Amino acid sequence: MIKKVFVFINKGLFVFLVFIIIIWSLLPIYSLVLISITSDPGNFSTKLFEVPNKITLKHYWVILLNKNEWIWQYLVNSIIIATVVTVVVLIVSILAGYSFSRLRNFTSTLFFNLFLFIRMIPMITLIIPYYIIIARFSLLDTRLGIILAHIPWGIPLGIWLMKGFFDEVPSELEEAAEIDGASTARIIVQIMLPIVAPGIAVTGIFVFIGSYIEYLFALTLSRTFAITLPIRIAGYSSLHLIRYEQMAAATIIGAFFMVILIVFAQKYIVRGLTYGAIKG
Amino acid sequence: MVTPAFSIVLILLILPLIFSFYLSFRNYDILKGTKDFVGFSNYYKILQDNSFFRAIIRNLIYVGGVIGLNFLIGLGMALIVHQIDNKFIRKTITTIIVLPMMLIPSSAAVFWRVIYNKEFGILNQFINFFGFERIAWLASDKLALYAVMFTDIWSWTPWMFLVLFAGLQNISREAIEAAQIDGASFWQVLRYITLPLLKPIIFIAMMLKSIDTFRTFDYVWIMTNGGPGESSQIISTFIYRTAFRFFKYGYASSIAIVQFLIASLLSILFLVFLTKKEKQESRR
Repeated sequence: MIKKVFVFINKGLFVFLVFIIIIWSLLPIYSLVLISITSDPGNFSTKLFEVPNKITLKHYWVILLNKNEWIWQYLVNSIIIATVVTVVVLIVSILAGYSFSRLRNFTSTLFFNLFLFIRMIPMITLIIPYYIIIARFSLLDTRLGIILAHIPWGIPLGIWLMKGFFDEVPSELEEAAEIDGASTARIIVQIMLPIVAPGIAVTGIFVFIGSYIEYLFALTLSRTFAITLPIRIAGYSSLHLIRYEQMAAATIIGAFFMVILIVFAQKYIVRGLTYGAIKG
Repeated sequence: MVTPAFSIVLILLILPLIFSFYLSFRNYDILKGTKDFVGFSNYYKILQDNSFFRAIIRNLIYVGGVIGLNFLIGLGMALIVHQIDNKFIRKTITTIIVLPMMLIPSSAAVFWRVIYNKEFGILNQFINFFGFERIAWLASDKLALYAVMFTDIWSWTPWMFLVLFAGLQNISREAIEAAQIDGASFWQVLRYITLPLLKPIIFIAMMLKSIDTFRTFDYVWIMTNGGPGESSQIISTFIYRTAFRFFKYGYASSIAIVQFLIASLLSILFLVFLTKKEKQESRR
């Protein structure tokens, strides 16, 4: 009997804890959604658990369709910058990842560790030289300036992940191709690339996200033209008129893109998040 | 084949880093218009700068608090979700837990400013609901830093959860079940089986997280700008403010170099550990 009561209490406690977890994650997001669909500005969520009686998608239309307020220009900047960064990083890190995976000598290990080390440098250390150099080349407030600043920070992540994916391909495959007389270039293009294609996609997604959400460089190196979405969203609160509703709507739209990307990389999410240090 | 990657990193990262070293030995100041070589005097100045030391201490509090709570909450969540047998429920809850990570960090920071708002923020409504007085979280010099830390924790707990949850799933159920049959309690299983088996993953997760948290900039900058006063200033915002508010590029560079050296120490420790682990694995 006592044991039964104990089990019952344990079960109750368990359900309670799960409930707490859900509240922890969802309550702030619930409040965010609520703000984004409230009609009167400045009058939102005055009651905690009361859904506003006038629900509206007005703020979404404003930031998507109103020419003076829309976020397309910032979203497009973010996507162009992240795409270029991803393409460049993928090209160089497929090559480097492949050779790090196959060559296991002292120099190779040394260089590999150098790339890992680079990933951990505080970005703020580089912000002053970047600003001075990019201003010197008149690249301030251009997409190219931000792209150049993002690329070296994506490369270590790209190399780290690509090496992991190449490590999983048995080397017998290439040895067989080599015996048949295939050149190194051909082995990479015709044999390795098709096999690691999913890995390339996953690596691309994580490099893309890294650039898409980056704040410090994009903030410092942009003024008006090259502003990216994260900078724009953060800017909603420092303008004269604080437009929380639009900020909330833009936040949700920005998150929407993240969700799409993450869904594709779901299976490798832990590996991507830990730069390949943990293969979940 | 490493050459293209290395040349890009050399030009776009290593050379600018060397330039940063170079700047740190000059009194480069846009407002005063000076640009002379001054030797180590910027570094002497750091040693006498109380703001710097206070920023370092806040940075330590920030890193310690964030990774500590991140770990405890993430581990708690992972253990609880791991206990759920129903696959559908487990998947649903995992998705819910991961949601905060889907927000762009800078937008999470702005949005938490709304949550902390004194008049209509959801947190103060909660407090008010239970009959306590509303608090201006981000405008208080005692609470601002902790409020920012809490946002950071909320945003990145999913990360810790995913990593630890992946680790838990790799532990064989047999060992745990055998212990339970022998009458081990939940805490005993956790203390003597689960945690020791998770240890390598916990270490990697904590190292990566502390390196990342040590260089945090966006949450603090967006939520408080390091203020009120200097009360939530950490190293990165201190550098940013010195460089882009007061235009003392030389002095800011020297602080940046000090931060770089501290971060390097952390990362070298981490890399040594990783290399050792790889060697052990390849020996097996």
